[in-house]
Amino acid sequence: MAEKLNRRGVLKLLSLLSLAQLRVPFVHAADSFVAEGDSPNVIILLFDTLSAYHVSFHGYHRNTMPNLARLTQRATVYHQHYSTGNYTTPSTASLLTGTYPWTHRALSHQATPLARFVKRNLFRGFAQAGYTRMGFSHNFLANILLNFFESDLDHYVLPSEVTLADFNFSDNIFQRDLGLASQAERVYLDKPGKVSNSLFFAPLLSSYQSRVRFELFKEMAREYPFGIPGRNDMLYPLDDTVDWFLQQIPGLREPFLAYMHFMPPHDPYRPSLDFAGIFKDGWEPARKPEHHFSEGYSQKRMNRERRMYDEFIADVDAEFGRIHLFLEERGYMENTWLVFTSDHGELFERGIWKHTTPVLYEPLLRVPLVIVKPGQRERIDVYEPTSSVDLLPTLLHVTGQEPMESVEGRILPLDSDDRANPMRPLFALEAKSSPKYQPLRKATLALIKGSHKLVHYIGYEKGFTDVTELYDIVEDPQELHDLASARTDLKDELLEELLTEKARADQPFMGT
Amino acid sequence: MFLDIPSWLVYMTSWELLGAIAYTLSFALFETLAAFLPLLILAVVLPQKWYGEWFLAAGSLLLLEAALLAMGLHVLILNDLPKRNAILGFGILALLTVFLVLRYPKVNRGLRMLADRLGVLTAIYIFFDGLGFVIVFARNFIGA
Repeated sequence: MAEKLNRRGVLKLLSLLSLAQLRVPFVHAADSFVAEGDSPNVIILLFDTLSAYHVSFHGYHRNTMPNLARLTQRATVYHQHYSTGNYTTPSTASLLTGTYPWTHRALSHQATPLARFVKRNLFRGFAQAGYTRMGFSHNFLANILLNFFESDLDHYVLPSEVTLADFNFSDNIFQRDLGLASQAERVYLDKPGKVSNSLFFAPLLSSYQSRVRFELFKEMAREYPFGIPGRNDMLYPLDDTVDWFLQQIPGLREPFLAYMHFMPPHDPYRPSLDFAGIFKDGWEPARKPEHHFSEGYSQKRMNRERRMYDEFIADVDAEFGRIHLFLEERGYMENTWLVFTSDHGELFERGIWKHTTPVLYEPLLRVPLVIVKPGQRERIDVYEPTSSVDLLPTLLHVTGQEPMESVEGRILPLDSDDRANPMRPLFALEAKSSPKYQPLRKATLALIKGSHKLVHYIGYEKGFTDVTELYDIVEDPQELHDLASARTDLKDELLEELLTEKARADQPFMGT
Repeated sequence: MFLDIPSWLVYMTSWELLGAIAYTLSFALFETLAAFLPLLILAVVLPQKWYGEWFLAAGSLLLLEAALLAMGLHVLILNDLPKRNAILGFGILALLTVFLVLRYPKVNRGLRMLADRLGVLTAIYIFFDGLGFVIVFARNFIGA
């Protein structure tokens, strides 16, 4: 790793010096907290698009997350943790409402949950116990959700306050109506690869963005050889955001709930210099057959992108290490529940790259979940399947609060004696083309139960509708052997359960 | 925008759909006003005697040419091509436009007739844009 200290590095260190001034008062605050036995803090660190299949301590070939692996020695590790969807909107809404996407109905891009969830969410749950609640997301889809729950946030942080450059204007102007405004903004201005609807603003904006990007890249090219981490709408070097977060923590009135939704390692994968090229090891994963929904990416291309993704994860891990070190040194780990997770995974197989796809293979759904209890010393491993809908009831439970009735998740096992029901059905779905207020028409539905996973496609084009796949995810974690034809009895049983559950979820929307 | 409405129909309520259209119309109104602003400023700044009928004709034609330039810029940006020549070309075209309008009264008259006819369409367009702006205002200041 490079040891050189550049200008940004020096500035970063200087910025951290200001934190040192806060050390003494904070330690006193922490001491008094422990003595008085107040409610613990909760920090949720969500790194977008982080597949458990690429995490070293879950058995991945590359050592992508050494810092997180160190933490797991005194944490609860969930080895089969599932997201409820394969992209941000439905999966994050599930995490924040404790309900499945077919219940909260934030199904499509930029969608928000049904109106009733304005008052039934994670942040509302922490209101009564007097928590200070902070929410931030780099991801504009997650930001729309945070905006939806804004009345329950004491500190709703706009991306523009933290990011290096934020090219969205809706989040600064139309905060009361962000979901619709940003949707219209994108329709009007952003047409990546297509002619925009806006005649004059779009080329002006595009030229301005190019200039800003170019100037910033000139300044930071040594640090980010593949470009500054960011997407079309903003630039967000993770180290800057982490610095900002670490500066916020001492200022938060305790107890606090901090939800930090970081964009990396979401594509485009842009590891910093220290991690660029660290996995040039020539390793190639096992080839898998092309899927019906293959996008035609070659294995060579996907292997190259996978390597960059892994390097970006290593970068994320280093930043996580900095957060953990800070929390450790300042005594926060003694009075804080720390949650590390992701909203969904990423795919580099079967001709499909990234996660905008109808398929629900394991690398897309399985995400890491590591929870550290205040003062936890021992490691606990949970091998039973768990879901992101479980996080809300669990966090409310451990902080002495009652989850709302609408919650579909269960309290996660947290002690070595706790056991989850291994035969509990878990669900995940991809339904971005389905209507919000009508029964699901076009969707991919997944049921995970015991060692099996059933995937059912409905409403797709002729030749691929009502198709069902069945995998033994314990014996065949790479999902290479579809058992749907060989195990028709099991397939029919699971399919009936899945469709019954879908019908229950569709019930309120029948006749609309 | 109209290409997006079919997809909006499936997951929005009527009020949300109206809101999404309203935002798009409001952005268009703002853009239109911004495009007209340079001409309005010129009209205010220039001496009264300069601001004659030729100004309306030349201004209308310049706006149409600017729209064509913007379309060209879209294509150049999409294909990552240099834009300097297109902008220089527009500058020359603008000078030529003013010259033609001043030199040939028929061109002047023809353009003013065109502007009169387009004015009717513009009034309808601005009415809907204004309506969109009212809806955006209501959603943000009265309640979504």
